[in-house]
Amino acid sequence: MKMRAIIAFLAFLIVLTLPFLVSAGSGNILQSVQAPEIELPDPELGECVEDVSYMRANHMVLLKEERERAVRHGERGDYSLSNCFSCHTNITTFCKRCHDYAGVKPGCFEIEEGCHYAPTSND
Amino acid sequence: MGMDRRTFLKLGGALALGSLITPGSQLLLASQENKTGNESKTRWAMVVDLDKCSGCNKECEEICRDENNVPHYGNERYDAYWLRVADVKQHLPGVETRERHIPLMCQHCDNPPCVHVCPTKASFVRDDGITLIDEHRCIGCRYCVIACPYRARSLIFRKSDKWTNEEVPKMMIGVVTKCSFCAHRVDKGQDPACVEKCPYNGLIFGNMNDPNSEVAKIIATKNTKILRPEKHLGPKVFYKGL
Repeated sequence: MKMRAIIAFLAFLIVLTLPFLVSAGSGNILQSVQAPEIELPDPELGECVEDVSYMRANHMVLLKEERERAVRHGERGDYSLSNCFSCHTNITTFCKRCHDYAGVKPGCFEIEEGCHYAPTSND
Repeated sequence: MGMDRRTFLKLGGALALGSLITPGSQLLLASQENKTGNESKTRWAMVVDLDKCSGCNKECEEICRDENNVPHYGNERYDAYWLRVADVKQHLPGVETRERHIPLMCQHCDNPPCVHVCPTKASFVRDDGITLIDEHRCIGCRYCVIACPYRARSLIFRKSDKWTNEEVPKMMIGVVTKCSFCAHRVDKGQDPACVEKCPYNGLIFGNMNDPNSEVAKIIATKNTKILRPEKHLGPKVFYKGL
């Protein structure tokens, strides 16, 4: 009786993990994990407001804090969206590639009713 | 029990009084801070010279719409207004009929009812006295539209594609908007668009707390009126020649 229960449980485990096992066996897992490549702006334009790794992780926090300062206190500084767009002129090759990969939609310009100016050139 | 009824009541009373000290002193301190804090700061104000306003083609309305991307559908039911010019005629027996064109916009009250009723704190008064709406927080409940006695606020009912000035965000559907004294321009040190572009220079903008500013001088020396003074809201738009 005990033996049958253990076998049933193992079978259940295999069925449960079947999708993961199949995709691991075919080698697709490694391909799908690759991060998207983005086109960085011209290095002649100078340094970003913070260093690259910090910006990669925290640009949304900086933008949100800047928004709060600008709207509620009228202090318009360097971390504004329009300041970003002065160097990062192409939204499809810079912002969108990562955002599509991560499944994140920034409300500022990407959703349908987005109300802040976004560069839309595709060159 | 070594305590009689009298001592117990005395101690209880002392405890109750003592618990009031901290919040009471905090309230006193807070009220003093408010009093001292408001005097030295900038307070933006506007003077409208009605003697100069001829009601032209209501150009200021158009200037304002273009500057702030205010949609205009041509339908009274949906149109949003930041600035509107009211045509007023005075009929009195024996007196010549007098016509006045009064530009009406948000009065940027010191004590604004729209801010008091806002459930999400989307409406707020900035430190320099400008009343603003944080459109990210606004849920479009329209309490403020009802609360404002000047009818300065309107809801964006329809989706708008108007984007004549890219410095200013596009109007979002379902939020309340109103005149911001062109806060984006004021922050850069410029005058609001209607003040700068009025063909008759009928609008004057400046810091009320600075006694040397043009606005403060006019308010101090000339006969200016505010709208609906009986409401005691402290509006910061003054009308000369009303």
